[in-house]
Amino acid sequence: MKIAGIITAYMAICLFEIPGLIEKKYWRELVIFIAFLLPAFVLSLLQGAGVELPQIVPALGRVVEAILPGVVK
Amino acid sequence: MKLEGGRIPSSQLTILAIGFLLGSSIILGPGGAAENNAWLAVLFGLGEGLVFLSIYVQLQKNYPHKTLIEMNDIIYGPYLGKLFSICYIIFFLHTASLVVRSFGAFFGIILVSTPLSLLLISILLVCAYAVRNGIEVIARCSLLLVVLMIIVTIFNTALVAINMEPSNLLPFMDIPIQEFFKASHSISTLPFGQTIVFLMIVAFLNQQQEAGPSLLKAFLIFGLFFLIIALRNPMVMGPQIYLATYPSFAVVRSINIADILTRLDILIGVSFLGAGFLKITVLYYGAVLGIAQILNMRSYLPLVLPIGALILGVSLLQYDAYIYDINDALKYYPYYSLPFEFFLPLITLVAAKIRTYLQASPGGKV
Repeated sequence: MKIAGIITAYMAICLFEIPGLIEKKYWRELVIFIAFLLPAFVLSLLQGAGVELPQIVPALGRVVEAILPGVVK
Repeated sequence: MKLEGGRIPSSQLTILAIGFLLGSSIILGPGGAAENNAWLAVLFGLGEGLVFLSIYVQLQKNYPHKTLIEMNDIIYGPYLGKLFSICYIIFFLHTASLVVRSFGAFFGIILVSTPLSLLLISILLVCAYAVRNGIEVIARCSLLLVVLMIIVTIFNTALVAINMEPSNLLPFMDIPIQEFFKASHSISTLPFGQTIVFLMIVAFLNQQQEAGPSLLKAFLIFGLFFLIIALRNPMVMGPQIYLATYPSFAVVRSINIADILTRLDILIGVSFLGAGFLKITVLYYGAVLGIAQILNMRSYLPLVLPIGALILGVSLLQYDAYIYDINDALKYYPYYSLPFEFFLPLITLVAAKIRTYLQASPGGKV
């Protein structure tokens, strides 16, 4: 159900943007649009499917602790 | 080709900057680590923030009508400049997704049955609409929202004035000095240092020479506002305020005037709705415009929805669903944000000065 919702939402985004880009012959912009939408789509699909992904803040915290040991408590 | 045709007056820039600064700080409460000395930490944080601002203003003065991305290209050349620009854009996207997430976490305690992703999508859709309409619309929205936020805060403060106990601010400076400076540094990076994103916006100011005074005005007005909140919260709640994740929310929740005026905490929710919208929109706009400039696009509009979708995905990845992890985010942010808010702009300013000096020297050609 979640996956179907995600696919529908991304199809709606494509339908909203792509026809205008084709009409204006903005091919370069179309490629960039797809290049940014694709990773967002994959990320949403993985999250929708419940795949466990690494968390950002704990990872950044480990980096800060490694560079400035003992500063953050 | 011009990506943004809009122009904003300096008064709107000031209001927008105030709204941006109010952003998440309106609910998170200032300088919690400094406990009852938070008000002093606010003043020190403002001082450090003004140092950051002076760097940004100097940069803007050297390159009027240029965004941060264009400045990097001029100062470092097309390749190194783009590398620096990508660092800033990652920072804008990360900060935007953190604000979106804190927005979702906060509204999660009011709208308990609503899924987090739905809250995030709804705010991001509104922000995407504003970003698509350009900087003029964003700046005009800020007029209404900031006035609303200021009225709500004055109203709330007036209602809790009767419960204020000035002795709650004592004892003075009974915390270790390192803790105090950590708290003031935390205030300087969040929210003051985040105004680095305004280097993407001041390029569209009508009168470029007004950028510095406008942002300075915004810093001082917000500083005063923040100082009032930092004094109000501990005076009303006493030591228990340091246990609250959202101190201002807890303070306003305590309002009870003759059993008639109660549960006014939703007013804080409404203010945060406006402040969060402005903050997310400015960061979102900065990132979208920046990417469009790096990739030399003819319009930034095709990027708005994909970047919004990325912000949504990344905001869900920031930390686990537990509200306590906001504290983790706030603990580390002052350290990892420093390179983007202070060191990179400082290096850029020094490089710009050297470049100007070499160009001005006889026979110099850079």
